[in-house]
Amino acid sequence: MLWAASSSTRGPVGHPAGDIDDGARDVFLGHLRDGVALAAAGDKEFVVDLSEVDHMSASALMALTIARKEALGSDVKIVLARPNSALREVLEISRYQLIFDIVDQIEMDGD
Amino acid sequence: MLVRFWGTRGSLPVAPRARAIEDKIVNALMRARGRSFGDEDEARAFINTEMRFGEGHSYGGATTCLEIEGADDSFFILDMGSGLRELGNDAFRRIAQQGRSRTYNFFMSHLHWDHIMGFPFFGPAFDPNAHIVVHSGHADCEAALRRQQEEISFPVAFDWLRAKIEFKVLTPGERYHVDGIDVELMPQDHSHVSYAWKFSKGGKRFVFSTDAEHRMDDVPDKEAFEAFFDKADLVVCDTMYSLAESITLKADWGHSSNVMAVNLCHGAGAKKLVLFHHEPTSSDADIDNLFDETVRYEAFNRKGRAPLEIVCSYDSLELEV
Repeated sequence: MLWAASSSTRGPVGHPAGDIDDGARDVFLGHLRDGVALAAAGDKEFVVDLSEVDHMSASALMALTIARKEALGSDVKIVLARPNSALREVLEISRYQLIFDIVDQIEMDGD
Repeated sequence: MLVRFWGTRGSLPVAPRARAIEDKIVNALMRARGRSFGDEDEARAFINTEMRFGEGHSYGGATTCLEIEGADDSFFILDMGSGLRELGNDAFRRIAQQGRSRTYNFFMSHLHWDHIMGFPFFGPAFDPNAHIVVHSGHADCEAALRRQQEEISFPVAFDWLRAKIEFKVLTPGERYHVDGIDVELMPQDHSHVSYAWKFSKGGKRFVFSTDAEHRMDDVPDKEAFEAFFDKADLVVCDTMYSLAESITLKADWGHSSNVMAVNLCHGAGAKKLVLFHHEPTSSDADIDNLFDETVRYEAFNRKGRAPLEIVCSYDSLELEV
């Protein structure tokens, strides 16, 4: 899994890419925690741009869940953005649309 | 071994209301519009091949009760939910027609109401020639069964039952041999603890794991269940909630999701997963959707593993192990 960071009008953005498999869980969770901490100090929203993610394992869903729980304690909302159709279906089967905002667009800073 | 499902609903028995039956008939008539059927077999073929299961049938509403056929002599019964009443009636038929033994070996997941409420209606408990052996991980199993037949709750006292009834407390981690079948149990995360059971015979393994909460961040739990489910031929799992429900509104309610069940079975290399303990508010259409979504999730999550077959349980389902 690769990771890049940027910012948007909603707040900091994390850009994971590739497969987020079981082995990448801890690294993924670490990046999510960093993003939540950044958002906690400012915009209160952390956007996870999933457009370059091919597959997310159960462990990656678990990392999102842990990060969400911790983010609630910091009054931060995690927003999931631009998942591909297969990933969106996995999120919807999990009913993650009920506990995360899932959006199709990100307005990047400077756009 | 043959596994027969007498009750598959979670928490509370349910029955379809009049309008639900009317809706099914109207839907079938509309779908068949312009068609003609030469005989009953053709009509049944239409129902069974061109309609979703929940359109042409009902998943049923009896609470947890399963039966395993394959012991040397006795009945093997898993939990005493409301499905047990029909099993008891059918046991009388089989005893009369097939000369079956009157020994009943029960294996209890736990003692909550929906898992014991069928026992006061279990006809063989009134048979003076019957022998009932209740295996449980709970030392207070007998107390729970006696309590639900106290006068404040039920008109027939436990002591009025005529069968010989005995209770055996089994220990997790031990392997027991009961009437030709090897039996193991392990504790699960549920109020007052529940137990998963594994039954092995002739190289085949069947796991019954209901009323279990699997928390996503609990790695030891994941490893323990993957080990218990290891290479199982058939695993029955609690899939009452969606993943999101199980970690938010219904966290700590002691149940799990279809997603977690697939994850555990994939991790364990199990062959077949049965969706079980259906939410009582779910319609047949909701359960159809649960099944379809689980099949799709299994495919998304497979990633080079051998396919895991998904089956959705319903009252009267039979599966060969």
